[in-house]
Amino acid sequence: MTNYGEEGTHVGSAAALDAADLVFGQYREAGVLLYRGYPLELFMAQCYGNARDPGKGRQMPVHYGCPQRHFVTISSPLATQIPQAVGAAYAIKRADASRAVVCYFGEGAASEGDAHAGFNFAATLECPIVFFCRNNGYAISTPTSEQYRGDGI
Amino acid sequence: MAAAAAALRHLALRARLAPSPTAGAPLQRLQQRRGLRLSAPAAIQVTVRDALNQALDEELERDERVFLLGEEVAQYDGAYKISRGLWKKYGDKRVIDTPISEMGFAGIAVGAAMAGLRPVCEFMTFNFSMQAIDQVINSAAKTCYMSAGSIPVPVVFRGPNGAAAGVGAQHSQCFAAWYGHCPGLKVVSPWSSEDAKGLLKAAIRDDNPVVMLESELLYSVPFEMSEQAQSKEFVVPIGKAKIEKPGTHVTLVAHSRPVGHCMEAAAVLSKEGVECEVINLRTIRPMDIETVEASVAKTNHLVTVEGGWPQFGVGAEICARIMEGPAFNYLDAPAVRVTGADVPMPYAKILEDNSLPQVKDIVFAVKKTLNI
Repeated sequence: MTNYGEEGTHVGSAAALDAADLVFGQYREAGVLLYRGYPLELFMAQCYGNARDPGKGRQMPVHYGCPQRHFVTISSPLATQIPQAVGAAYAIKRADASRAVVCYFGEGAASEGDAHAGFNFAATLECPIVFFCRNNGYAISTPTSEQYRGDGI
Repeated sequence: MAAAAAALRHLALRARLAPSPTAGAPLQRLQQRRGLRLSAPAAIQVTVRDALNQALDEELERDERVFLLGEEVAQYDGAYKISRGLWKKYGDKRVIDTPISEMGFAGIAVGAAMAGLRPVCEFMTFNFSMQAIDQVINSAAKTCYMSAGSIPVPVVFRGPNGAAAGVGAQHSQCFAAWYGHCPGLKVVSPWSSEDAKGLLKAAIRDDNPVVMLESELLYSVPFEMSEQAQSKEFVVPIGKAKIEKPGTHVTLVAHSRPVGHCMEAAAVLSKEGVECEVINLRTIRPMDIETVEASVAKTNHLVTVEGGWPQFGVGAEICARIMEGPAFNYLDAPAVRVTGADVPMPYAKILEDNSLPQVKDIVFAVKKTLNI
C-alpha cells in the first residue's frame, strides 16, 4: 500500500483544506495526514501494531486515523467511505456551515455501487463535499480500459 | 408422525453402530502401532491451490456453459493464483476480469445463470461478498423456490473465507454460519486438496447455487491425492462428511482449516491414551448430522471446533441437532464448542493468535469434557 507518485495529489489537496475539514480516505492518502502533522513515529507504530500504536494493534498497516486532525480511520472495503463521507457532510452542514468534507478514492473503487449512491445523495442532499478521485490507471492489475468505458470517472 | 420418524432415525443409528470388521482393519492397527504411513499407489502431493485449479480447468473443458468471473481472475491469474493459466487457455469469453463491484458482478453471475450459463463467481474474500449479499441470498438462494422450481440458478460463489494471517477485522470473518443459515443455498467448506477439487467439481455440476468457503491459509498446503482423486471424473458428494481419523473416546467435528488443528490435537492426545474421532464436515448445508450422531453414539463425547464466532455458529447448530436427535441419549457430558473469540479480528499477531482456536484449546476442551 505505497503512495509512490501520488505525493503531489496528497499535499496539494491537503494544502487547499482548512485544518478542521473532515477527510475520508481510501488507503493511499498518507500524505494528507502527514501534511496535517501526524508524526512519522505514529505512522510506523500503526504499521507495526506495537505498544505505541494509538490503534492498539487492532488494524492492518496503513489503516491509520486521527480524530484530532479530522482524518477518519481508514476502512478496507472499497468505496464504503463515499456514502459515509456524504453522511458526515450532511451532518456537518446542519451543525456548522464553515466546514467541508473531502472524500478520496481510486478509479477502481469508483466502480462500486456505493460510489454511485454517494454521488447521487451528495447532489440530492446538497452536501458540502469534494470528491477527489485518484486515477492512477490501474486497480491491482486491471487497467482503466477494463474498469470503465467513459473518458474518466 | 414425528415420533415415528424419531424412532426410525434411532433404528438407523443403531444399525450404523453395529460392528463390521473390514479387510483393512489389521493393516490399520499395524499402522497405528508402528506409526507406519502407507501411501496408495500413484498418490502425489498436491496443494489446495493446484487442486482448485485442476477442478476449474476440468469443468471449463467439460462444459462450455461454465465460465469464471471476478476481480483479477483473468490476466493476473487470480488474486491468489487459483485461476492460474486459465485465461491463457480459455480466453476472454470463459475467464472474465470484472470492474470492482461485487454487487455488480454477483448480479451478473445470477442473471447469467438464470439465462442458462453456469458461472463460477469469485469473491476476493467472502468479506467482500457482503457488498453482494442481496444478490446471493435474495436472488440466487430464493429464486428456485419463489418460481416453484421453474428458474434454477446454477451459480457457484467461491473464494477465501475466515481468518488469514495479519489481515485484520474486515478481511477475517467466517461466513459459514451466515450462508449456512439460508434455505436455497448449498454451502461447502473444504479442508484437504481432495475436498477442494471434489467439492468444487460437485458445486459446478450442481444446479443449485453453491457457496464454496475456501481458506487462504490452506491454498499453499500440500495434501496427498490418490490416483482416483486425480482423475477428471472425481467428485466429492455435497452433503457428506468424512471421518478423517477414527477414534473411541471423543468426537471432534470441524470444517476447513480447524480440521487440521483437530488432527494435530488428536495426535497430542493419542500420546496420552485418548483416541479422538475427527470428523471433517466438508458440507455446512445440507449438514451431514447423521455421521456426527453415529460417532457420538460410539464415543459419548462431543467437541465442535470452528474459526468463526460462537454466537449462532456452526457449533451451535451441531449441538442443537444432537440434542434434538437420538445421539443425545448417548452423551455422557454436555457438548463443548471451541470457537473464535467473540471480537472483530485484531491485527497484531499476539492478539490474532489468541482470537482463533489453537491446538491447545482443543486439547483443553477434550480433557474438560472427558473430565481428565
